[in-house]
Amino acid sequence: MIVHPFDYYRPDTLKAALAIHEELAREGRHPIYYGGGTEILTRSRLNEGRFDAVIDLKNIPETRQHGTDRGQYRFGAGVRLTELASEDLWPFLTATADRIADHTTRGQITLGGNLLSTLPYREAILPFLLTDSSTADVAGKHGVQSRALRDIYDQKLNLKPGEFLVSVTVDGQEAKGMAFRSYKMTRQDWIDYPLVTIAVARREDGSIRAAFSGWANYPFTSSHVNHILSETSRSARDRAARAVSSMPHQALTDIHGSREYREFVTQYTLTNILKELEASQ
Amino acid sequence: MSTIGTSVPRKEAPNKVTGRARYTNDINIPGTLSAVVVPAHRAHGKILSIDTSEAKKVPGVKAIVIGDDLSVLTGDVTQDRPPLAKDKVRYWGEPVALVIARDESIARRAAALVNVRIKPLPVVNSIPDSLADNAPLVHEKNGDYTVATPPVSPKKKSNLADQANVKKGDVEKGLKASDVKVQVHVSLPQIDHAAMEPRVAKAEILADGRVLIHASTQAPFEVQKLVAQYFNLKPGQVIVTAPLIGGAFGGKAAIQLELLAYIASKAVGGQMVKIANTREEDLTMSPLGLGLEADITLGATKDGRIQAANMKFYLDIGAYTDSAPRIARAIAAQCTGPYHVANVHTDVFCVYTNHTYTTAFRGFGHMPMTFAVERAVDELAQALKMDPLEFRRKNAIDIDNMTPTKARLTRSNLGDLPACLNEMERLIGWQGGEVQAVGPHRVRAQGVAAFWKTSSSPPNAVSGAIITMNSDGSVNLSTGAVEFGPGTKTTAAMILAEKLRIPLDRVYVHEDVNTSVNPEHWKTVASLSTYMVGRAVLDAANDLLQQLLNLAAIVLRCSPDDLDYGNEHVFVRDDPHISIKFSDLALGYKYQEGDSIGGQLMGRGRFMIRHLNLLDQETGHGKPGPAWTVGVQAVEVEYDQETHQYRVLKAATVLDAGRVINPQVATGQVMGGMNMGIGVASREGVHYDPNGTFLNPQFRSYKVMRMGEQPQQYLVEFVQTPQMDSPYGARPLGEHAVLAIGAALANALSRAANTPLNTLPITPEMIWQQRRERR
Repeated sequence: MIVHPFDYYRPDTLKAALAIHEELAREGRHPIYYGGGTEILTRSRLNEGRFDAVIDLKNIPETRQHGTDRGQYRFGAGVRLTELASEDLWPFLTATADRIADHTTRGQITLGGNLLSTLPYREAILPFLLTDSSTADVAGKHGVQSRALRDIYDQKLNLKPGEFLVSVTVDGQEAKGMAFRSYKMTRQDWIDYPLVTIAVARREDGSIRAAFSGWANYPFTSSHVNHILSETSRSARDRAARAVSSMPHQALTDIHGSREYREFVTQYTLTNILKELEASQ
Repeated sequence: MSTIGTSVPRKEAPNKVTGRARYTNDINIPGTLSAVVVPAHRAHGKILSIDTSEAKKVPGVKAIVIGDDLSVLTGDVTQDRPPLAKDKVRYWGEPVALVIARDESIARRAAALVNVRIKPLPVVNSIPDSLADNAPLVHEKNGDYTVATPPVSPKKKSNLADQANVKKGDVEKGLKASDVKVQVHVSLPQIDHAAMEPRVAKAEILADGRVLIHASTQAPFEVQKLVAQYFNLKPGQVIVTAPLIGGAFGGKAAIQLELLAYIASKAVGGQMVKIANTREEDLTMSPLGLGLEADITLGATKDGRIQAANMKFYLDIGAYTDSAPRIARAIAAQCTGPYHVANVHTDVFCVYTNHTYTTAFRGFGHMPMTFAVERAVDELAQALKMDPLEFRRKNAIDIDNMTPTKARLTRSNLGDLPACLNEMERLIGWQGGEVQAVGPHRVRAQGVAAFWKTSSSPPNAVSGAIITMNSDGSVNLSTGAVEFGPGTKTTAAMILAEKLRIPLDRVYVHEDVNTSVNPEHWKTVASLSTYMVGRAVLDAANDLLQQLLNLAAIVLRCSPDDLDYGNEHVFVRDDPHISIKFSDLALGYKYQEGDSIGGQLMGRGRFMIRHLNLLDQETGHGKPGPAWTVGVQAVEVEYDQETHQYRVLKAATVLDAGRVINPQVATGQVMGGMNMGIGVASREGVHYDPNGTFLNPQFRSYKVMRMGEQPQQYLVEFVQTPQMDSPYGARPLGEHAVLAIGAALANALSRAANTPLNTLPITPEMIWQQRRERR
């Protein structure tokens, strides 16, 4: 139950959404952008998250784009995770995003909502972190700007106040050109937050990149770790062990698992992924 | 025609599957106010101040009650719990204030504005914390509280809320005579009942002084008594109704929201007020199932006969006592599991902690107790290099043995454990406890565990039944047992149909329980409804039949002794053509001339438990229940030695049901029990952080089994050894399938991982951790 009153807006255009946000902010209100709403609801149950207006972005056509556009795959921020899976435009993204929450909830959660979640997981970002071509299209004061994902991602997608995510893109050639594995490892259950979700891409040049969610308080990839994983002269087991001990930060300890156990799980999962990717060469 | 032994759907099933069934929170009267608690966000602390001024300003707020407004202390056994925390808070989530408002959203908004200042005190966060020298006291007044229902044995200036023990034979001698001994320490977290329907209660005080309470409760008659007692009312003044209940598992035998609803109604001049738990409140504020640490020592001779059991059980009861002393005595009384052990010394301690308080949980302490005992029994079998199933068969308790409390066992009051073990051997395809390799790093293993349980009910528990007849000769059945899923009402109706020799659809059951209308039934707990309600129904049926025969005798001009009945007729035994229909007698008989005799026929019946007694505080001796249901459970797992992940392939139960009244419902009840027990053993458990904060108050973090996570196969078989004093020989089976399945899982995985697994839940991390520590 959301116990405090709030206003609901459903603009039809990017411009209108920005204008509503600007006006409410000027009045000293606390507007938030709204995709699927699952997090707004669940956080409200715990009296978390302050807002007095929601701006629903799903009626804006640009947020619902989902397809190939001049060689680029484009995923609107308002596309539901179940829609991503049924369209299956980029199987790597499907494999990762289709393990978030449960099916009922994925029918609500939008891609934008997951990428900008307040939870530490945001697994849908992982495949994008492993590409060079990914962009985030952001609506703001100066219209829609396409920004390289790597320029605006630092522990989270850094948007300025009032801005919102319209869509994300990846170059189709780059996306198609990599072999991938994405494994979500949980404490015990199929449906749970990850101990660690590991997305690994083997690129056309044979180099390996990996991105992790659940290990730390935000998803990340590390060039140092990627370098270690790409040293194919070493065994998969050896590379995985070295990667785990070279992570940019310590693994978390929480109710899902201890730091040491996360290391253990990450190590064997990475080993298996490397073996699988390199066996399928 | 026989109803007993046939599979019939539950009476309430059509309404449930079409969404028409109504639960407490579905029945709402316009104008009902809403009450919401302000929870403590400290596990232990002194309340410095509670500022309600901002909350009172919220439009629509009617009243705010705090602990200082009340003087009552409540408790099933020891009266140690204020309905709203007073002076100090003792667990995270404890209600500190109660906000009553026009609707729930207003009440919640206002509740968030109540400013509670708490000075933190050191937190008693575990059993060892609680037992440490100079441990902070959860209750400074421990030992001085009023005891409502003895026995209980608290220790002053300590965190021991109670202590129970059982002594039989000479344990030192028994251990000396043992060639092999094992010691096992087990540790189990607190768990949640996780009923689909969160707890809810409504109360109003009428102008004539009557108090109406509607609640999702397993114990409406207990609510009636205790509300009257706590608030100085006459019991008849308090009317409690309980409609269908959406799962209970013991958690709704505790009384909490009913008291808050009454307090809230009183604060607003008697208007109806509802208090409905969110899932978060149901987990953190309302009572849980207890946690356990236990030290078990077992000894056996090398021919595989158990000689002695020395056991200490420490129960993490949380911040208040509730029914813990009863549970402690139930554990003590059945402490050996279903085995004959001549020399026993068992101590059970109820330990206060700054955790959410606890109450009955399906199995009434026997589930954690069985886990501890069955782990030790399996370790002992392994130490003796014996087949664990064979070892259990060798030591199975049997008639003419005595229980740990020296209760006498007979063919009637004890099920046939050896027969269950034999059947299990076949059912699961028992491999003798050997671990089999099925692939690189993959092994399969089986585990077995046995259970027994009796009711641990008070010696004066009662039940009743009233039957009234309809004009067509059908009957209405009214009992005091509530319906929370196991088909209690349907079973009662089947027993009545069988006795009256009528089809089941000619029996209409009264689904709701209303304490001013229905005859009293102690509490719908302890798997006793078939036995107690069934006996009362048979008594009422006999009463009704006598009335039918007596009236028919007048009409048919013969002696009642000449009459028999069947097919909804009363007839002359030696000439069945002379007969009269039930329907012509139901509302009295009308002669052709129009004059009539008899009036409506109605049967009344009652039952009271007999020959039970409270256990002696010194020796623990006594008879804790009318009979012991026994059974065996087993699982087959596939385990990955590298990742420590596992799958349960098969889970099986063989239980001596005495007589299976409704096979479909009984099988469902047993499967559900296995599912619950495997959930508890494999993933459930409350997490507290170092400050005692409840870390997993939602189902996204308190994990229960989801559809798809269950074993590939559930197997259920029944052995049928009748319990002579129970209707048609049926034995209690409602709770039992949770009891040993967790132990069976741990036994299988301990073998598969070649490491004793004595901590729940058994996650891959736990196995990994145990193996690391062992190296």
